[in-house]
Amino acid sequence: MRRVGIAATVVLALVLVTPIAITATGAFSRAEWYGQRSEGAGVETTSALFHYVLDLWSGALLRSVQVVVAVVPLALLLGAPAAWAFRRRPFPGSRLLESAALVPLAVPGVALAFSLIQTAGRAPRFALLVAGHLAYTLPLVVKSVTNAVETFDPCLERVARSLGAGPWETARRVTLPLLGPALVLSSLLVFAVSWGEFNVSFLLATPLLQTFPSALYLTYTTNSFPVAAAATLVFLLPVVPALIAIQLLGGEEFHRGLPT
Amino acid sequence: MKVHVEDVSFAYGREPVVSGVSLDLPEGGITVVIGPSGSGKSTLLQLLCGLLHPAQGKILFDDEDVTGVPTERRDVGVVFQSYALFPHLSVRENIAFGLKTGRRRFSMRSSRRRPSRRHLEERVWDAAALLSLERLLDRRPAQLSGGEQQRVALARAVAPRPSLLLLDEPLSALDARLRRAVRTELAALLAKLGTTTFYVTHDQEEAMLLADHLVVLDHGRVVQAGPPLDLYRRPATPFVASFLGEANLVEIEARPAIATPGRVETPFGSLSLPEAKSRGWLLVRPEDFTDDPCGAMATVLDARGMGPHDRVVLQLEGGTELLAHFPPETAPEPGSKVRVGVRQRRPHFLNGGE
Repeated sequence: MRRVGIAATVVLALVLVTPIAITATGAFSRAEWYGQRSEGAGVETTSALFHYVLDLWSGALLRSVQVVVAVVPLALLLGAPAAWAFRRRPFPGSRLLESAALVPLAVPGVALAFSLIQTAGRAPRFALLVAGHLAYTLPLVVKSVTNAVETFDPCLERVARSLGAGPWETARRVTLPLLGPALVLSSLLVFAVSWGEFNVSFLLATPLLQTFPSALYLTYTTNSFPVAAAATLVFLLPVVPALIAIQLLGGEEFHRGLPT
Repeated sequence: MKVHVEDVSFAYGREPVVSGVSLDLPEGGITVVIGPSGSGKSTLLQLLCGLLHPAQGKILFDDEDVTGVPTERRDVGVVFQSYALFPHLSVRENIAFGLKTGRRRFSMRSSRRRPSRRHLEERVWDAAALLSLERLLDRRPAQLSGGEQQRVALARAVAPRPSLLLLDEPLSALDARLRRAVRTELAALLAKLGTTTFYVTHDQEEAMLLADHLVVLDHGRVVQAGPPLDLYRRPATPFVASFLGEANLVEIEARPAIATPGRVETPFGSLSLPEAKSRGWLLVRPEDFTDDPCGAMATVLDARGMGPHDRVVLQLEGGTELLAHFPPETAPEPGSKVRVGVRQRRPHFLNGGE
């Protein structure tokens, strides 16, 4: 078993990490090495390269930040109460709705983007973009919060009520603290997915409304490799800590003291 | 606080769970509700604490109608079967929970508001001392044994000094030996508190030990209510008879004995059974049999020493099997014949046989 584990780790590392590593080295190399023309005198050094990239795509970077800042709280505000209700206050059809919430995960971004334009083409593009991102991130919130709700005794909320806590006080002092780990975890997941989402963002993009991943696509198609590689690193910068945090929070330490 | 439940019904969807239940909980007394699983006893508890609301009927606390009042304004303390301790809080914080809530009482009867910090600490300490939890205050629920968790749940429920204490099978999560010890402690504690208590159980011994007032529930209806020993001695139906302890029910025709009104001929001789009117069941508890040379002839099928008594299975000549408790080490050999009678005034007659 142990050997299988080691082999799987090596394969995973090769498949997942190698391409990213190669890209990263690209950012610290010279364009000529890749048989491409260098982009003028300004990008001779690595630091100049990063300055150039940030300058070029600051708009897209800002857009991505705006989208994430809108999507993360919205996904939590919509997904968490829905997930709680699915388990604690089921209503006719809630099971169906819960399954339906997972469907967007399997819908191609192209289809989702065009159907968004079809149904609400007159809505502001930014709103469409946020809606598209929510479609992909809500299932993650719903799934992880329903799992968390299932692990704790519904009597906890009843006891809180009997001790004089109203519905809001019960949510604040019992439900939210117990769902805390799941909420933090799902907000990190939402962040990672939304930050990297390409399909919908690219199709809904206008020249003024481009998220960073679609800017990356343009970079890879038009700029030299070192520029694209540098842009990729800039993109990865906030994702890596988020992913590491997800890993750490999944650990036992985080769930200590919670019902098993 | 007096509690009056009037013709209360509740259904999950179309399935009636509680049907037309009327009850009175005596002030300061312990009312035990006993019934098989699915009899609606836990639902009745949830109706009393306001987690469920009846489809029909009224619930009065000291003559005030609380039927539609939510749980948090009912001034109740609840202990659930699972204890439901807050896993993210220490024992201290669990006990203090009810002292820090923004509860606004339904009535002004209890002038309880949020206590000051010093007062709060005192109250937590008092509740902890009452249940000998002083050393465990800084622990987390996950670090406690089952018995300790049960005590914390009870301390948390009584700390705000509720007017009504609701206990939903509070001992059923404990193992048998611990349960017996805790049962006695609990009886002493409830007597000391003097709070009106509603206690749900399916354990007959627990019911007999704790109840001032015993209510037998079956299929969502009250079958019988009264002092526990009355219910044991004079059950209203065969169900109550066999649910509270072991019962021998011998079906007989109540023919009045010649020239002695109120006496009825039974396999055990003529007995004084003024309540007998028609065909029905003669109830004989296992401990009510006596060694009687004029009694019924019976064959011993099985005999086993249990310690406090000998458990003997007898068969009457008609084929009726009986369970009898003989004094320790007095059981006859299996296969032998004995003559058994019954103690005077002990047997009870239940009218209504087919």
